[in-house]
Amino acid sequence: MTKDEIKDSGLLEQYVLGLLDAEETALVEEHIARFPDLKQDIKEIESALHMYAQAMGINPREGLEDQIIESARASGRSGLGPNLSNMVPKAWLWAASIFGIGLLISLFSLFSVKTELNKLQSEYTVSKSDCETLVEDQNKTIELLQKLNNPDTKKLNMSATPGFPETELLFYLNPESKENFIQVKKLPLVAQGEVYQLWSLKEGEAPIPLSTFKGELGDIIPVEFVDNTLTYAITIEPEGGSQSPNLAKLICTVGV
Amino acid sequence: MIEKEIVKKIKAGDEQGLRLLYQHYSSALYGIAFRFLNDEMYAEEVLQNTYLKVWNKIDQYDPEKAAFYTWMVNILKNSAIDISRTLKFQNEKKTVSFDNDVHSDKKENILSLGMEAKQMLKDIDEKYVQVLDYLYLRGYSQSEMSEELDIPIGTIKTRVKKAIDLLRSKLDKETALLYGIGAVIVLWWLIKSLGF
Repeated sequence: MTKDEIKDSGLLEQYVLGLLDAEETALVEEHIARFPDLKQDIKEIESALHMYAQAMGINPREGLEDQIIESARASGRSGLGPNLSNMVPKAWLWAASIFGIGLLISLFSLFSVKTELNKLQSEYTVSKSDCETLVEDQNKTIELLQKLNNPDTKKLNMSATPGFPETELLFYLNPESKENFIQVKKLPLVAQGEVYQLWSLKEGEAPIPLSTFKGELGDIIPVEFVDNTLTYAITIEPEGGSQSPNLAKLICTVGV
Repeated sequence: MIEKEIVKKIKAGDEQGLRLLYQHYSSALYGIAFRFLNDEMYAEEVLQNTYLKVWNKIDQYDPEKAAFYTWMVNILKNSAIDISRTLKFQNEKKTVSFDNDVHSDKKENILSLGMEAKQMLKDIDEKYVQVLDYLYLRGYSQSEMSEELDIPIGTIKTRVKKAIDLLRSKLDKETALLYGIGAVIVLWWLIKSLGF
């Protein structure tokens, strides 16, 4: 058949409608291959039938669209997974964003915690040092109290001189351990640059200069012990101590 | 153009492509499925099978062989034939007038759309519309239609060609009208741009 003959035969229309048998179908396809212009006729026939079907269309019930979409999701597709469309990259984008934000928050929290930890460690070190100092001081105090309460320790009241009657001191003396302590109860005021100085008085000898000190109420001050001392005396001397006592500022004595 | 966009999206696994496919073709496809099976539930099943097959087998579509719509109609009709064979509805369906057998609400919907179709196809003689209804929408073979309506097969073939020629000429007129409107718009734009 010529191109026009096959156009006029009605075979193209029946071909698109699927009404031809195998032999007729082969014949039409052979002519389409020979006359490529016929493809345009086929397209126009398809468009005409599409238009007719649309005009005769029936709207499906509401909800069928979502049902079909859901079925398509459930059916999945190789390489795509159950989620369709570009929702997949969007989902990954969201996940990545959340992960990034989470990571930043975690890093910031870690940094804050680390800073806080360093601060606490520093405070702990200072506190530990303070505690050790306190323990050391306490041990010293305990040790001192043990010495004061030792049965070999003598507890003596020092006698104030008439010029300094307000003076009240206790003198602790242990000849066994050769240790002396002074406990301050009350001392006369001293001028700037003056200190108290202990003296050892022996018979027939010049006063021996001993420890200088400053003290407040309650202080227990270790001072030097000198064998064969008969009397200990305290004077007010210039800072650094003197080699001979200023008798005008003799505040108290105690005989041992 | 929309066909190409839909095919591209479906090939990419884009759900939006499936929604566009539904919005553009569901009434035409469902109309065929319903008339073919004369049953809402099975028509829905056929429509769903068709969309799932398009979704999952899109790589099998060859634009050189057929238009996308024609490919879908072939899938739909094959699915409808499978169901009608299984249920043996075919003979029963063909003894009942289409318009008299549908549910009242569906009938109203169909009649409404039928009015639109009549408006659109008003220049086409009813005997030409009838052959398309039987052969294209309701799945009859030419011999079945010939037997049922007592019309010679040759007459049916002639009417098929005439019906489609009339539709094509209507499409040509619509296309010419669109081109005409487009040309007027372009002319108006040119005149305005040149300052006349």
